[in-house]
Amino acid sequence: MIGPIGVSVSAGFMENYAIGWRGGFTLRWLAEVWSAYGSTVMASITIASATVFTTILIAVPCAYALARSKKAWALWFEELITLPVAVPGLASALALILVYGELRWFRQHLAFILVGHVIFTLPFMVRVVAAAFRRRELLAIEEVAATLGASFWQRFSGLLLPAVLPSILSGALMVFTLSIGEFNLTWMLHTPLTRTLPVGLADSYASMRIEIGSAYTFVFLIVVLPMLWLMQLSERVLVKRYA
Amino acid sequence: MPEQQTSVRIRHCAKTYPDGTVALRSTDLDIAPGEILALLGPSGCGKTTLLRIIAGLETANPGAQIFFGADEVGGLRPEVRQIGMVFQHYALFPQMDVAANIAYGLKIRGIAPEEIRKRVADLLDLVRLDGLAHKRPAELSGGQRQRVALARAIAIRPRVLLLDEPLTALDAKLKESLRDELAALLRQLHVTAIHVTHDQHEAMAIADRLAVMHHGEVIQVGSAEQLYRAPADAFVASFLGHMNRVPISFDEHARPGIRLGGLWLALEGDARVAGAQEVLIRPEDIRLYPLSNDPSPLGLGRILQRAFLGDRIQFRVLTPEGIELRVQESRDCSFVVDDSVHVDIQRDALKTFGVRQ
Repeated sequence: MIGPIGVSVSAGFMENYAIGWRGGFTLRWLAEVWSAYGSTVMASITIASATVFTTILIAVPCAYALARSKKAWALWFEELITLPVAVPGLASALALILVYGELRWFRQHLAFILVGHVIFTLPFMVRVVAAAFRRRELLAIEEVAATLGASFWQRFSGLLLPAVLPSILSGALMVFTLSIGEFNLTWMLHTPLTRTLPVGLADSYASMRIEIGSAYTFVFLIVVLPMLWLMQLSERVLVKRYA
Repeated sequence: MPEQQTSVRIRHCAKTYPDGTVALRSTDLDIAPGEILALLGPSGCGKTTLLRIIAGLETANPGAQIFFGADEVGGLRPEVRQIGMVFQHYALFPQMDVAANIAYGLKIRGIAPEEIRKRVADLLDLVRLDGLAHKRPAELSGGQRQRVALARAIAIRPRVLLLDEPLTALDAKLKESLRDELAALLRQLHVTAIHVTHDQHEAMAIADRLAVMHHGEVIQVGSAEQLYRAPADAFVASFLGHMNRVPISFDEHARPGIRLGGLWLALEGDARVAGAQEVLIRPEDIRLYPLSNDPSPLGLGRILQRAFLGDRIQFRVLTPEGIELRVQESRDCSFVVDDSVHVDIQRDALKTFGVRQ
């Protein structure tokens, strides 16, 4: 995979991909990408960050409830929230458009795409965090804290959250990666004003020169890779501290 | 350490899971203020379930009552029962150091930092962990972790201290030394304590009284000596030390007895229990003697196995009836494998039990 990506990225710096480097080096395509699609970078980062934030907000309490519940419905619920991963993104997007498409403000806002991304990425976060909450030693820590007089909130915020923090960050990394590269859902949900990086990439490949599409790939990597690296580094630091 | 010693009264305490599994049958127990009671039994006998119900971590069937002194605590959440609990794997807070672990319950109670520092220092001294206050649990040995867990549990001056197999996770040598240490510490604290274990030696060394449990019910409660010398049934007898089992047969007058080593030993007095099918004999109630040419009233046997255990020697002896007996002799005993020996059984040590209803 590294080979083809390398070829694609290098094409973005060639004057003419058909004749290769003999045609000369240029930053022109990169400048054109930035002027035509620069807004998609911020849109993607905003949506991915908001998706991470929202999934954490929903998934952590949900994962705790699922991990501690002894009821049969908890298993069904866990399966149910996994459904959007199995259902094609196009179908989920179509369902969202049918139900909420008439809400003009919502339909034309990045929040519409955000909802799609949250639905798609939530099961990944829930599964990772629920597995952490289910660890036997965490259950024992929670019980011992209760015997020492700690209220539910003192146990949850003071002991459980720090203990599952590496898993939350691991889930966040996965959610961010999935969100920033998500195309299926986003392609259906986007409007000309709410384009993301992958949608812009598809647009540039479909409607412009191959060199511009390739320069776009470079922009995508430049934006995404440092962020992923930073998140991985934070995860490692937290694992070292709390795991 | 505790403000005042608390008695514990348990009434009609039972637990049935939604799938119908009976973990604990209706149980009544009384524990005196400052007493150490061991709940002793094999895995799955209900001892941990009972302990967790007392802690409030498990809900008993309706009708159960638990009293700490005069207070009914059965309906209270664990955080307000004022208990200290030591778990099997200690459950220390990994992100906190030793001092913070011990101080946790005190901080929750809003005690002044100065007072907390003083109490933590006292407890570190009490459990001999001076100098380790700033170590993380991961940096401690098993024995040190066990002491931190104990110090954390007693820091809050609990009304009742609950110990859930606190020595099980340790290796045999460390377990033995910590067992004696724990026994001494609990006596020093004068705290009412309930100690769950499946190890009869641990229970005998630590507790004032033992409650032997089997299949979800308390079979017998008493001191270690009472239970060892006068077990209520065959299970208690076998659980507290080894028992040789010899099947009962009948002589020509239909009187019960056992045939052992070529001799007929009639069952008399207390040993005659209706419905009993076997006689139980402790290894230390059998003596071995060298064969002599004189007519002897003793039985016969052959040494099958000899195991030197340091403070004593354990033999496996085969009788002419094909019964294998485990026998304990002093470490000076010189019999070797294949020696023929005389076997002497103390008649008053024979125990029989009817079938439990």
